[in-house]
Amino acid sequence: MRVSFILGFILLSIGIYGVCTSKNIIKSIIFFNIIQASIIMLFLNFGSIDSTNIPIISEMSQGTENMVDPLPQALMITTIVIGAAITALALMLSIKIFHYYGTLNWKELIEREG
Amino acid sequence: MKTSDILICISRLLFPFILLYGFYIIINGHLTPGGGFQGGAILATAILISYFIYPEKIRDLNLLIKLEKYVFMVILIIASISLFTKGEIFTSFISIEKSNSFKSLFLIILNLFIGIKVSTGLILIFSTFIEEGK
Amino acid sequence: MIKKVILIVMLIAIIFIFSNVALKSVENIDSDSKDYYLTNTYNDTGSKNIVTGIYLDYRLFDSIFEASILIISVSGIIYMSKKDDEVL
Repeated sequence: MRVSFILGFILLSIGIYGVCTSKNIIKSIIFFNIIQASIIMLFLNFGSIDSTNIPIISEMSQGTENMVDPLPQALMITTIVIGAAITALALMLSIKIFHYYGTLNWKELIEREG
Repeated sequence: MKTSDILICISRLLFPFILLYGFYIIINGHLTPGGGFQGGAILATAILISYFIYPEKIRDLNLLIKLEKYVFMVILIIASISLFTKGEIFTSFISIEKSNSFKSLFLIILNLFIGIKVSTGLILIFSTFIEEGK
Repeated sequence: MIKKVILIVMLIAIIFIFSNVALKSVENIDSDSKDYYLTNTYNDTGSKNIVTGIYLDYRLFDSIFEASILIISVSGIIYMSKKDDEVL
């Protein structure tokens, strides 16, 4: 019974709930970041199911049989940088929307657009 | 925005140590936890401290944009040298029969350039947001 | 109001089903790639940190195009920042 899987799925469902019900653009961006954090947490937990040591060969590590899977960690390190870039682009777009329309509410934006 | 004198003094004292720590993480990326992306983020925070120290100074961002483009071209060229030495694109250009400490030279060079590229990218993103808010 | 109740029921069902699937899939995990990387990375690439060996030698294609995503987003941000209220 691993508690961290269930915690990751609870975080994922909190993110989906926030994306579905938030009325502000900034809050939507924050909830997308929460979904990304939950997915990173789930990948790292799936990689370390039956082992605990870090994947670095040194004098202190006894052999390679108790190391975690290094492939999910190498994939997630690119995901973090891409997430930072996407978040910055979305925030700059929301600044432009606020300068043009004067509001950041989804319903008012849809009414304004027709 | 008025910053306090204590923060300015401590930031001036702390700036070279953060810079040194960032380069340590980048260059030892193949032996210890760390690497190009993490060390680049630390370098970006070291250079962004200057917004605390001189908040009124006007900065020229065109030099950073040119630096990022040329560093990306250098990364592409280094990664595709292996087409001529090994016959495969996008791997290490050092032959596999060499010793292990000589093969890590490729990792050090590529980590250094990736660190410079990521740090200039993050500095550009933050500087653009600060200029937008003025 | 009724929409939020339906949404919460759906999310609880997602938590229940996904965690059941994840806890059952723990028993049959294939560890071939893990064993290959853990035994051969130090002799292939010369890197003691196996994660660095993967993202700078085996999967360098990923890292290069990830760096290109960063430069494209930076150029998009600078383009939108320079033009005042004419982008949309």
